[in-house]
Amino acid sequence: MKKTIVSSTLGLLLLFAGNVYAAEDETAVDPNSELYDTSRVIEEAEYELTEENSEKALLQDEYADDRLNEAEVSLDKGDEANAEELLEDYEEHVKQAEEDMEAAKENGEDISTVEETLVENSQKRSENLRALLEREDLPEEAKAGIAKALENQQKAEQNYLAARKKAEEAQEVAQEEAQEETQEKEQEKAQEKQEKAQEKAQEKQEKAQEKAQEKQEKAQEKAQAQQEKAQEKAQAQQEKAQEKAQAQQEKAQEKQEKAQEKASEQQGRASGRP
Amino acid sequence: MKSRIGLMLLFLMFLLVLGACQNGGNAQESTEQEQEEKNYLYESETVKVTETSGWSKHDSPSNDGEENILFQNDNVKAILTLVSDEKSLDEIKNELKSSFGNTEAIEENEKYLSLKSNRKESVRTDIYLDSGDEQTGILIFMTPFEEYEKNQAVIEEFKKNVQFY
Repeated sequence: MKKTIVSSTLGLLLLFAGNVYAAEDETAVDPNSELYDTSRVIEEAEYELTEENSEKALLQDEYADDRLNEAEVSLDKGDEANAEELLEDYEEHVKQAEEDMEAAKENGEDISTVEETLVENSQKRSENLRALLEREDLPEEAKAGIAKALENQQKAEQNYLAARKKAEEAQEVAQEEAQEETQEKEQEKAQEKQEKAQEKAQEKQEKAQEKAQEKQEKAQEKAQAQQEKAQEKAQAQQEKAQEKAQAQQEKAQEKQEKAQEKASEQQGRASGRP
Repeated sequence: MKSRIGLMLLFLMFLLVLGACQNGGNAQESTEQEQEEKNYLYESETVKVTETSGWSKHDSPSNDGEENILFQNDNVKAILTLVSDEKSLDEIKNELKSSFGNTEAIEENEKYLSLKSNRKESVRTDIYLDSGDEQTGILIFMTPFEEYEKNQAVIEEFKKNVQFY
């Protein structure tokens, strides 16, 4: 019983996986289908409605994939003429993708991730084309077409790689420049900071000097005032002493005069005696 | 005398009736003429597209013959095509889906399918199917996803003017 369940589950899983693979593989319309031309008109409309050049390049890359798949389908069906036409279309898509990338670069769009995708897809397609070339059942004409497509594909790949290298170098230069700029800015900033600190210190010093001068002036004024006061006091004392001395002098003079008067009186009395 | 006047009145009435009939005939003729003179953006035995304001027919570089007719109104594109009724509606829808690559279905019913492409610049696609006796008419509208609501009325107006026979 267990074996039956396990085997049926495995069977279902395999069936499911097969369907998914088929669905993923089914990305292009059969070139012999009645709707094939419509699918190409749809592609053109989608491309025209897309504005960014890098997105346009990705679309052209997808279309190139589709043409290669369709060419393989045509070769499998023995329709070499159609396969050749499809390979020519394929080359046109590869070329257009390159042109769109150039335009994207000129417009300054960010193309780093798009470029990576294009290089990866281009390498895959080169492998597919090499595999096709190794097929023995293909006529020489078809092989010549495939060889040409492969040559152009490799050229495109080299162009993408060269462009990527150039972009990387440009990025490095830009990074260095940015680093230098940052360093210069930092230096300028440090210098400005230093200058500001110096100015501040100078201001502080000047303020301290002014304050000290003010203090000194105030002290001088105070000392002067005190000196003046002392002088005034000394003068007043001197004046008082002078007044006192004068008063004493006057008193002594009065006393002298009185003594003189008394002496003259006594003298007079003495001369009046016989 | 009285009979003469009566005859003259009868004759005048006859003339009036004749004139009225002639006018009626002219009116009928002009309506037919108007219908004949109706301008078409595109007409064939199986499909007619009446002139619609803002819309014009465009030649697609890869358009082989009259299989796919491309119309445009600013950022809205319409593709008109006819396929034989050998393919079922589901087959047509599946085949068209696969031609869009990485997309997701927004809405689907028997005769309608709308898709959104999974890209940085998404495109909305509306596919209308019209199954006739021998052929299936396909009308595809494509517009940037962000502009779909703005362009919905333009799409509807054009859709009304497409007649499959």
